[in-house]
Amino acid sequence: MNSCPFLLSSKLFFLLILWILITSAPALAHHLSVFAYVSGGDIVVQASFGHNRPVKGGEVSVKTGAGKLLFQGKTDGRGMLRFPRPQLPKNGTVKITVSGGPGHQGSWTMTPADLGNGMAETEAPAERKSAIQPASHSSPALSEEEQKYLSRLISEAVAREIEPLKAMMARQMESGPSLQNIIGGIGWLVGLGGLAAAWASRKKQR
Amino acid sequence: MKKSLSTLLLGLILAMIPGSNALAHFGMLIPEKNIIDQHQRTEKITLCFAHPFSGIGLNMEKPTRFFVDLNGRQTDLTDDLHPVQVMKHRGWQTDFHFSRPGVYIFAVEPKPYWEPAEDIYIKHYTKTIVSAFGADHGWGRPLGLKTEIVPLLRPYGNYSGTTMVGQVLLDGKPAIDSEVEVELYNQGRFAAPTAAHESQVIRTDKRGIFIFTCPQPGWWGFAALHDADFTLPGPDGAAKTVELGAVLWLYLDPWQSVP
Repeated sequence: MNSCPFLLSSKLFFLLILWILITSAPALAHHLSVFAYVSGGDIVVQASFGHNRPVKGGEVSVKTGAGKLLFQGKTDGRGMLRFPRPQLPKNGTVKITVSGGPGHQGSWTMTPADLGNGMAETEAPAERKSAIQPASHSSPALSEEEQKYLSRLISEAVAREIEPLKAMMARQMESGPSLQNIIGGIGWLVGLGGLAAAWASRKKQR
Repeated sequence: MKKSLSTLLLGLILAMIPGSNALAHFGMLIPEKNIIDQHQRTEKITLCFAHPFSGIGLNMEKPTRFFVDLNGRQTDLTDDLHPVQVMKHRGWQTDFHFSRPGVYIFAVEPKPYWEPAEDIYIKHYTKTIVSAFGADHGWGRPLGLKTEIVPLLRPYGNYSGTTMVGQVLLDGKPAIDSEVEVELYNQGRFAAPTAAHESQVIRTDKRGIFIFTCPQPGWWGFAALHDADFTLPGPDGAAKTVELGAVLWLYLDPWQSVP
């Protein structure tokens, strides 16, 4: 599937047949499973072959339910790819397809509920930018609105930081001390986030 | 004449008693499917206590604990249960939503069931395993229950005729030379030629391992039984034996022809 698919119509036809065979038989011994979730303002894609082996450098294409291409990229060494959540209508869906070389392809469809489309308006990038500006100007105290923005920024930062930990947990196959370490690590991050928030609000109030 | 009639009646009653005793009890934990794909991300999971082959239900109290284990993290689901009728008796059910890929191990610790016919309490720690969104790792992890069956056969994606291999653990150690009862959740499909055919029995080897080939599609239950090292006071106040069961439910799909 990596080689140029649009050379000859007969080749195209062959590839089409191959594609149908691949997508209609998801339980191949070397299957490729795809999962995606929303984290902060982004969509995170995880792709793995069985047995916890990540799909490294897998080609990712993101399309609307109607088939319009929204985004293309490649997974990293952990089989992951992160990209900004696209603006979509409320009932819009997104189909994420990952190709890991010939014979290895999988996809995941995100429903409106998965995409959290209700929140899409409040977290639109443009609005977020304008929201940061008043907070960065020194004001005597943080308004309720600013506190909300600050807490959201912190939660997004924490989400970004714990995302690799989440992936580690997903790979974790058995309970053990390392899982406790991870939970402890998240606790640390949340705690540090809280400290940062307290410090920031004190600074503003002075 | 009268005497012979009463003797006949007594004989009939006596003949029925071993028959009813031969019915094996099983804690049951049955999801709609044991492989979840993205087209159906929520499924009903049903808990009950019954004789699965004959389809005779028993009333089950709300369990002490019902939880799911995902990658070693346990989430309590006891309060999500609502009572339902299963085999004309009280069972429990919940709708479980699968949010991410993983091998989900569901487990229930029931309240001890008082069985007057056998003069014992029965407590079956029951498990079933569901793979969601292509996950294929971690199905063989023990949960650390008082007693449990750990599958050595991947517990999903199997056909009828597959041989089940499992290890019985009691207090975390292999339970050697112990009995495992096997029963099909028959749902009225087959008739048993004799009472003995209601369930099959195998013994574990020196490693606590048993094998059994399941000849039909459907849900198969495996129950490894041991008497507990403690007793509980019965309704009459006397100390009663507690039968501990490690139960695992496994689904075997039918072979399908190419459409």
